[in-house]
Amino acid sequence: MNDNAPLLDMQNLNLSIHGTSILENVSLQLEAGSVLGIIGESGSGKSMTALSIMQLLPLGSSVTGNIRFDGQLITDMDESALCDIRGNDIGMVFQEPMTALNPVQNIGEQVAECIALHKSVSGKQALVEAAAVLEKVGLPNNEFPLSRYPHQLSGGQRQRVVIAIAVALEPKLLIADEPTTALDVTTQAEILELLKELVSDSNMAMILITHDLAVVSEVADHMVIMRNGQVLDSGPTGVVFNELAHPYTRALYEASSHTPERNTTDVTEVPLVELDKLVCEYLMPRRSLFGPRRRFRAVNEVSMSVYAGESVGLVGESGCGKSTLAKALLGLSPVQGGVIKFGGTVSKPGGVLSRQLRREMQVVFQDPYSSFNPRHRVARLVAEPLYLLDSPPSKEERVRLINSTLESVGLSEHDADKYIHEFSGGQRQRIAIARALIIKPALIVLDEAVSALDVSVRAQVLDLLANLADTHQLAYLFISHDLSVVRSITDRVLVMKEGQIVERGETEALFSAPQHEYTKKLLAAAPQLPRSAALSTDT
Amino acid sequence: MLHYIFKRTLILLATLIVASLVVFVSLEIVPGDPASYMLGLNAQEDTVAALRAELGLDKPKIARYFSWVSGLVTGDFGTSYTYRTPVADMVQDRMWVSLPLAIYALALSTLIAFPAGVYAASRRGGAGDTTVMGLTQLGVAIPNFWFAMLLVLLFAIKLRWFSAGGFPGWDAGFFQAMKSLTLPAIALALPQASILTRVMRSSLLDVLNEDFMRTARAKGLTRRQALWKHALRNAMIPVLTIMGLQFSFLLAGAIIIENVFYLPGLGRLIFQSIASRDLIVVESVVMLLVLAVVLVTFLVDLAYAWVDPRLRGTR
Repeated sequence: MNDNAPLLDMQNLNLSIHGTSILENVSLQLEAGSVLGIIGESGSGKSMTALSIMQLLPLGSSVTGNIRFDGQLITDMDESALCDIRGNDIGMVFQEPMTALNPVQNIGEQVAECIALHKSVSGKQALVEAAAVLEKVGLPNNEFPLSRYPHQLSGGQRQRVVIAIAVALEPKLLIADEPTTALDVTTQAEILELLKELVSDSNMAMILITHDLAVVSEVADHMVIMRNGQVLDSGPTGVVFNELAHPYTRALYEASSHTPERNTTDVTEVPLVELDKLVCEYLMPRRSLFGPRRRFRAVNEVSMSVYAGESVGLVGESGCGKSTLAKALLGLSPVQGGVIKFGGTVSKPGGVLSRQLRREMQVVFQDPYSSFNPRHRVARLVAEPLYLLDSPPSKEERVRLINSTLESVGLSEHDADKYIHEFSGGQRQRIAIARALIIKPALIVLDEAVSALDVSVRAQVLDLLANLADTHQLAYLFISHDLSVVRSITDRVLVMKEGQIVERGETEALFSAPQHEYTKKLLAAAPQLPRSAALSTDT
Repeated sequence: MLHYIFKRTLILLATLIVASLVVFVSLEIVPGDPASYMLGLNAQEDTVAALRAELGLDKPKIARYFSWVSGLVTGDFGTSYTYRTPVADMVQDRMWVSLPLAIYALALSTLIAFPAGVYAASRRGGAGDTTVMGLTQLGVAIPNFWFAMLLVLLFAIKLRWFSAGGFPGWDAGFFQAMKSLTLPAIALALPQASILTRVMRSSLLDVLNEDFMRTARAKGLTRRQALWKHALRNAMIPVLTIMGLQFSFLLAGAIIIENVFYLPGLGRLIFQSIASRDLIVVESVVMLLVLAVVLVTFLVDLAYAWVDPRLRGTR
């Protein structure tokens, strides 16, 4: 091997699957021991680029172009040679730690399998080595014995196991495909730290695939920006961020740090919604044969209020009780104690909400793909809440309402006759907002409503939300784990931890001077976009 | 794990109690008095009454239920009204035909279905897959008594490898007995194997699309290694469910095949007992079948927990 040749050299890679072009002339290089970030929105081909390097493409793929790894032409190798490289010279970490591990094998077996496969060691020796690797990725054996099964671990811990499998044989290249997207900010920070350590300790090269510019800016030496299967922009990370030379790079950057314009509204005296010492509990499975069933308190005596026309953020990590709180507010989840007041009237806690209350509150959920009935047309989906009205609108009035609501969220009246699968993720979320908007509620609960969207689409949806709040005098309860989004769209923020609100305050004040330790930790963990010289000279 | 087994055992016992009540009550409701049926139309009323007393039919229902259940528990199933022989003996004879037949058929069906399902799944959409799927469709569609007759025509009448029917008994030797069960077992296994193949294939295909299969391939496992080491065990849950259902069906549902091959099995015993109002035999055999089904379900539940650690309950 030529000493100057890069570890990975991809030249003019073209990929099509069943005739549909996925990648076009993708070329990229990676030096040994360096980190390359591949950035792109969904459908940009970044994951397929990674799978091309592993040669683990879906059935029906046809590839042209060359991928040279460590001097060998991967694209010409036969399957058995590829199997020798996978896991041994190239390790891979995937996005979904919850499903990336075999649920019926313990973690020791799963890590040891990779070692035994490539090294001629006994099964026992492989387990000893597996224990050492797990220790290295932060799963000490006294706390996490090899006999643990994946379902006994949290998401972050599972991702550590996946990383252990990938780095068990100290590969020359580690490919991490959205390794932290499914994780909380603090866990994300820990996993990124671990990856950085592994890379620098063992002189491993890494390809980090992500949609998050801030993550790449913290980890990568070089970066590549992809869109629609093509590489649009590339270079050293600092240079790319400073110059934002390509219009798309600039658009992505701006969308990532986008703050929608909002008019501040006069807050009324009486709160729209008031929670007083709300308690929500779940029954846990029995631990012993005749032991009592324990209760898990998801929401622990939370008091809060939302005023008309105000946007309130609720942040916290997964499992902190924020979604349970929202469900309790909407009457979708039983309540064990406390009072919910809406516009001064007390709603029966835990009971069925009155039609009048349900008219006033609507919700938009996280997943734009599974929160619609796929067999109904958009018109019916959007018009569904109208049954909450005491005097349902006439047929013409109904059509007019549907059309005007669709237009207000940036869709057209032609969309009313379509089915939901005909829309993209961002459009579906607009339809979800239209569904919430159609009966003119006073409050919309947005439960991670923009978390599944690409940054540019997210920026548009945030603009739409800000705009709608101004025109319709809407109040939002904006639930998210994404601190930068909450900062950009809310007036006040509540920070939730283990079922309790640990800190609350005006958004800007809280973000610039957090008081509680936990808030500080959350803010420190959130990756920051570097300032760009290109933008600061513009403005 | 202990908690899981304990819970399953409780469910098993509760099912048996409820089933015994249902069996007893439903047969009490059925019209037709065994005593008058046994004595014929012209019997004197006092003769019928005497027989009723002898059979214990004049006692209160609750007492009869408890004596029946306590009899079942101690192995005393009572005496057949028509044959005047202990029900336990009759059932035992039949059991020695039906149980081996069911196990034989299930073994055949599993031996066919596992390789065929794995083969079809690993060649999804290919010629091999299409062929296997086509054959299973045929296997489900062909009525098994007709297939049984074809088997008799070919192997018994034409080739004379097997006898056309009857059962020589286990005294005739293991090989002879098994030989006479072979054609019935094949006839029973064909539709079951076809269903099991399809379940195996679709369950495997679901698992092959899981993320952890990609992880397995990224470790450097070949497609085949990944399938055997990671996919198969994960695909077993639906397969085990179907196997449990099939075994219960094979044990009692073989009436038609037993008739085609003149086998003295449980299916035929029930059929004859119902026809002659031999309620005590019907009750006992039905209870026995319920016990078998519940036991099989229990074993399948244990197998689930063995296959999938998530079901073992304790965290």
